[in-house]
Parts: sequence; C-alpha cells; structure tokens
Amino acid sequence: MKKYLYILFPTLFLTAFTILVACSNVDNLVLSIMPKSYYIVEEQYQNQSFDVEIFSNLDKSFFSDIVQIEEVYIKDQAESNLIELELKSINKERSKIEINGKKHYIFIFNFCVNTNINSTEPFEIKESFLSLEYLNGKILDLKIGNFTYTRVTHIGSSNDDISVSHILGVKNTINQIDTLAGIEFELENRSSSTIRLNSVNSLDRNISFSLRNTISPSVVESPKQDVSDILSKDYDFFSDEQFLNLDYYIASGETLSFFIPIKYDELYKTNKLAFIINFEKQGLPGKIIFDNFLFFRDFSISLSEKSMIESYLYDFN
Amino acid sequence: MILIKLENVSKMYKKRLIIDKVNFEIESKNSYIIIGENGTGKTTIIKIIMGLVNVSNGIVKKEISNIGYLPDKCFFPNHITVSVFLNLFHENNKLIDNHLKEWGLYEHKDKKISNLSKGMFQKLMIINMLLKEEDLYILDEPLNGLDALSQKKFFSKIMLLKEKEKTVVVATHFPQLYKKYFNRVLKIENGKINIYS
Repeated sequence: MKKYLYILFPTLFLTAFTILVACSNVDNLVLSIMPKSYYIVEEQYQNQSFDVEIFSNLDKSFFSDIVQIEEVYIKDQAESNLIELELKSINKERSKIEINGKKHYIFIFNFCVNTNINSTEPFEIKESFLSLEYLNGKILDLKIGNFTYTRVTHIGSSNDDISVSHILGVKNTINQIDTLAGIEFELENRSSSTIRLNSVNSLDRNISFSLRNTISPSVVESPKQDVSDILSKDYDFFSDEQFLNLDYYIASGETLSFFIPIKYDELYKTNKLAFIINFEKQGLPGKIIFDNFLFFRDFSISLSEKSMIESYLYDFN
Repeated sequence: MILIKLENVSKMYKKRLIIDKVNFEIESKNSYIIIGENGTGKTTIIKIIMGLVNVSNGIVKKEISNIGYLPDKCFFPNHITVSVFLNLFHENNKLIDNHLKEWGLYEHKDKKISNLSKGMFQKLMIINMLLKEEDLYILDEPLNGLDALSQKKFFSKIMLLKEKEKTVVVATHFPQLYKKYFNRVLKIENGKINIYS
C-alpha cells in the first residue's frame, strides 16, 4: 500500500502543479491592438471623441474597469510629446476575435481630448502609445499608431460656392490589407462664376493624394475596383511624388467628377480620412474641410491583417 | 492683470511627482523666461498652462482662452504645402503672404513641408503662431534651427509683441540669449519654481 502512495502522491502533486501553472497562464492578461492612424479634426471648443479598439483575452479585468483608470495619455516613446485624454466609456462588443488561436474580447475605449486646450496648434505624434494609468499602480502602454489632433478654422465649406454632390471611397487590398485606395468625388459649382480646383490634401500624415494620377471624369465602376484598373495603368501606392496643383475648372452650375488615388507613407488599415479641397473663385481662395469622413465600415480583420496586431503579455491579470 | 495663476499645483506622472505644489502668476505686459535642466518639469509646466495635461492637485486659473503656442517639437503631414498648412488655421491670405515674404518663405509656399529645411520649418511654425493675435504667447526653444539673421528677426518680433503690450513666455536652455528682452525668470528645480526679476 505504502509503495502505491509513493507513486500516487508525486503524481497527484505534479498534476496539481501542472493544472495550477496552466490556469495561471490562462489568467494572465494578454492585450492586443491593431495600430492605426487616429486623428481628430475639429473646430474650436468641440469635444469630438474617438474610439480605440483593444482586444483582451480576459472578459473581466482591472484593464477594462473604467473606475480603475486614473489617467490616460497619448505620448511618443520618449514621453516628451504627450497629451492627456478624457476616457468617456468602455464598451465590450458582442463579437470576439481570434488571435493566435485564442478568442479575445473586443473592448472599445472612447476618448476625447481635454476641452481646456488653449492652443490652436496642430498636435501630432508618429508611432504613439496609449498610456493607461490604473489606481492599482499598473501602467499599460499600448502602441496604437499615429495620432493627430487639429483645430481648423471651420469644418465644411468656407462659403456656399461649391458643394460635394457625391463621394465614394475605393477599397483595395494593398499588401494583404483591405484599405482605402482612392476617392471619387463629384463637386457642384453653385456660384455664378467659374471655379478652379487647386488641390485635395489629406490631413493624415501617412496618406497623400496622387494629384498626378487624378482622372476626370471619374470612371469608377465599383467601390472595390482595382486602382490600376481605374487608371488603366500600373499604380504604386508607396512612391513619393512632387507636389502638383490640380487644374480643373467647373463652370457655374456645372458638376465635375474626378478620381484621386492615394499614396501611403506607412501602411495602416484606413477606412476614414480627414482632408481639404482647395479651390479658387475669381482669384480668391476657398476650402472645404472634411473631418474624419467614414468611407466604409469595416470591423473585420482578415487573417493576413492579423500579422500587424501588436500583442502584450503581462504577468498579472 | 493676472492672465494665468497656478495655485499649489502638483502633477504626478507615472506615479512620480513631476511638479510639486507650484505657485506662480503670469501677469499681462510682462515677459518671462522659464529655465531648468531636462526632466525638471519645464515642459510639464507649459503643458499644464496650455491645457494639454491636467493637474493632479491644485488650481489653474486662466483669464484668457487662447494662447499663441510654439511647441519644441512639432510635426505635421509632410505632404501638404506651406500655404495649405497656413490656410488650415488662418483665413487672411494677404496677411499670410506678408508673413511669408517677411520670413523669406514666400517663394517656398508651394513646397511640401517635407521639403523644408529645419530652419524653414521653424520659421513656418513661428509664422503660424504670429498670425494669431493673442494676449499671451508661449514658446518652447523658439530659436531651434534658426540662422543668425532669422534669430534677429525673431527678437524684433518679440520687441514688437512687447510694444503691443503682449505677454511672452519662453522656455529655454539658453537664457543668456534672451535676458536683454525678458524681465522675469522662472527657474524650475526638482518640480519647484523660483521667480527672479
């Protein structure tokens, strides 16, 4: 009997230890995030919020408990450039996402920038980190991508001379990422004079418009059409190009359609964009500013896009 | 008139005390230099005044809503041009052109920001700040990248702001360059502030 106990006890001990270790591993917090370009474009004294999607292996943890969060910052790696945020809400999505073979819960953190900022200077951090400081002393720094905050003179048109009658985002798969590849516009001249279209500029530092490859009238047939197909030639989404002005004229009461492909400095999945259309009427400049225009809703993350997800494994839960 | 008043202001960051019960006032028609070694809380004080970060304790009273601000590090979409950049924040194109001419950037106005030299970029940021008529201007290391001629221009602009009875605050590591133009020094050491006239 004693002989069996000698075998049984170590076996039981080992089994219990293995279970304990396995359980403690499962319970450790794993956070994942897909780096994106975040930007807020607003007029003075607005309180525009933005969402950051964070994936967690744990359904419940201090990480997603709003009352536990003391302070929130967006900062650069050196922590010299930082801005404090106000956390407005944390919501858990019904759906889950599979990362590295394990189900993760999707938490949407909704933030806004302090309303008491006294500057109208643009604020931008390339490769920014979201820093969450908790009452329990934990600090979680998560790389979220680029962050830009801009206060502009106005949103929309500076006058009623021109209106946008149609806008369509074209989505392509670039380096295995489904993202915005170009935009089709239709503008209407509502003034009594001819309007000259000068340029279209993005407010995202990663994205510029290829004015050199703009075509008018637009020949886009579907929002998923290949840009190369639209332009009837090969198109490189990454090469730099010299700045050019557009030189399109819209007669009074007429409309003009055109398609502009975009270029990426660094590829982030993009479904929103803030941009400016600059025009001229009788020698006087005007502009239309779009804040964070949503071109398509896309919460899905394809298998290939998952390689871009940054994961953080903590030794606590 | 007191434009900004900090009362017992403390700031914790990453559970560390960066600013410790600081009291000071920024009065109108005065000019200040903020000095202090790296990591002493100089930039944090500016960020608190600008409203970029909140205080952990204490009160910040502000009698003004807008402050002209020149950050020490500034980035912006590289692919937009000088004129498009300035047009984002200012409506008066004639005034924009005048400033560009004055600072020697007019012939570069259709250049992408990415193609500007460090000095040109700094001039652009100074123009952007000066285009707004404010009562208080805060500048963090404003001479970064400026050549001797542009530094002279910068100080002439400071004199002009002073003549207009504006308040100017400069944070710098090189106070000797400014002492002729500024009448008060705020020295930050270990999160505390001392004021000298």
